[in-house]
Amino acid sequence: MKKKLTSLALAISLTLGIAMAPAKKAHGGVLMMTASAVYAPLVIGVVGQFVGFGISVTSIYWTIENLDKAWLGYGLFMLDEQMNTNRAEELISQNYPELDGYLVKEVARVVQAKANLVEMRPEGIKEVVLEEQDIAQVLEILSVTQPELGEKLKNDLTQRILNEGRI
Amino acid sequence: MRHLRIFIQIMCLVLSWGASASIGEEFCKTYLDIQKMSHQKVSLKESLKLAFFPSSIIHPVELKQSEERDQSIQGNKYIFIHLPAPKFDLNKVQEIKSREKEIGALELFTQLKSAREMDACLTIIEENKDDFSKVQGYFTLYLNHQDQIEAYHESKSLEVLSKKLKTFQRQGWIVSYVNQMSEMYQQLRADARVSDILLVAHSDQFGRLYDAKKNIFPKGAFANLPQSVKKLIIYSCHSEKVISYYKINSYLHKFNYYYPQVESAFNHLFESKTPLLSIRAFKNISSRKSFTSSQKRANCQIEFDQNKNLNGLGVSLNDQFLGFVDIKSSRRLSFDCELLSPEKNQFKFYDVDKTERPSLGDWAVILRVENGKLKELKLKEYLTWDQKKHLLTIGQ
Repeated sequence: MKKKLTSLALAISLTLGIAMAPAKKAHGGVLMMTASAVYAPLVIGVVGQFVGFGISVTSIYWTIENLDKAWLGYGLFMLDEQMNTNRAEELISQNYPELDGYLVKEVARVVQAKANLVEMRPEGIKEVVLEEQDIAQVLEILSVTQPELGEKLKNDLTQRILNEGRI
Repeated sequence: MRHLRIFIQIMCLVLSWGASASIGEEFCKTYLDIQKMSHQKVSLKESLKLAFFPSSIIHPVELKQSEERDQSIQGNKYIFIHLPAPKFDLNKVQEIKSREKEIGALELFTQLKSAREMDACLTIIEENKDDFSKVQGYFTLYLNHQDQIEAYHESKSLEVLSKKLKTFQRQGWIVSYVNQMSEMYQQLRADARVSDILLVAHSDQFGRLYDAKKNIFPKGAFANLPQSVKKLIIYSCHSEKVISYYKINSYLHKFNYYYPQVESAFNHLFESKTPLLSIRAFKNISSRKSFTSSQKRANCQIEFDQNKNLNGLGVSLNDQFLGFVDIKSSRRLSFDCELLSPEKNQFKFYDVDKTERPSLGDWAVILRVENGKLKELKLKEYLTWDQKKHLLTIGQ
């Protein structure tokens, strides 16, 4: 009976320990704590409890410090952008956050079409210059829907949009 | 090791921009900046919280207009996951991860730990040229397969999220993994009893939300949710920017809004980012009473031709997003009459996602207002610069 109860206690402790402890090394600590409580004489049992607890806590702490090695690291992924969208779209969208998505696409399309006609420089970039006539449709739409943004875009046309060579 | 990964990601970004300074200088500048970041240690208490109680990293914040609480009628509860699930080559990812381990173990990085200044760093690079060229080789490999790494991380995020959402499912939430935002709007339109919505999506520093296909949710995206919706939760980063970009405060008379805020003890770790691991902090939101207005809001409608080409078109009214045209289910799209301005009203019909459609040609749309008045909108179509595709139609 005592043996069965001991085994049951061990099994429950192990199950709980494995389910709760987020680091595999911590399981060793839990095992030590359980075994020392069940099998060892009093003094060794108490020492075993402390040492086992120390192993568990240390391994969890180590896990946090080395997130990529533990399953926790995956769970902590952020809901951040890190969007690897089309480069031209990204550039335009970042510079003009108020520009509606379909207009960002349209301007990016024009940039890419023009980039296809331009030679790559030795340093691996392409220089694309947009003129007013290139995005006349976009400017016309903006004059109706977002006139201030339209003016800003028109004024910015004198700036060159550098299109790096990987597109 | 974690900082090595961040360092590699930043270096690859810098290299992809074609930095004008020498590679060595860029390397040292980035490395020294990361080193300063790494001195922010995580305390044991914070570590234990992160390990055992990740929900305590954030707390839900409620935005409401009024303190009044009516007896809320619990309807259906939906969780929409707008996270991409791209495919990746596991072998390639494992190859890159094992190369990363090798790079991390190089003598170069052991020596760099003691470098605090640019000159010291440059000297160490000079003395370990072979190691540095291996690092450069690794950067190239990483750059060429960055999409694979990102796809792998996204896949892991989804795995963790789906485990965390089991608690919500036991409470009766319906979890829907949607590929694009139009699916979410269609599901909401089809269910007359939806009361609670939880949206999980990426956002950027401007507060713009992205769906799984990386389309931006249009402005006013939550202006025309079904009248039965009493609670909206948006689980994303940059929560306060999201509120500002989508003008959530304007709709608080329609629903209560909840968003995640990182506890001050963890601000130095997360700043404006929101960990997926903590989503269970919202598990009790559905049991909270919500503000319900006994006043039913008047419903207006726009009615479309039976024109199949219109299917999937996004519709906005005065920069408030109304929804998507779905000719198969109904030729009419209902919206809240209060979105109409007493002066000028402008409808926009456009593709929110990356769909390209030809010119829509002749078609008609009729506006039906509350007292039964009908008005045919005057439409003007704009085509793309090559005159081949539909870009936008404005109706006034």
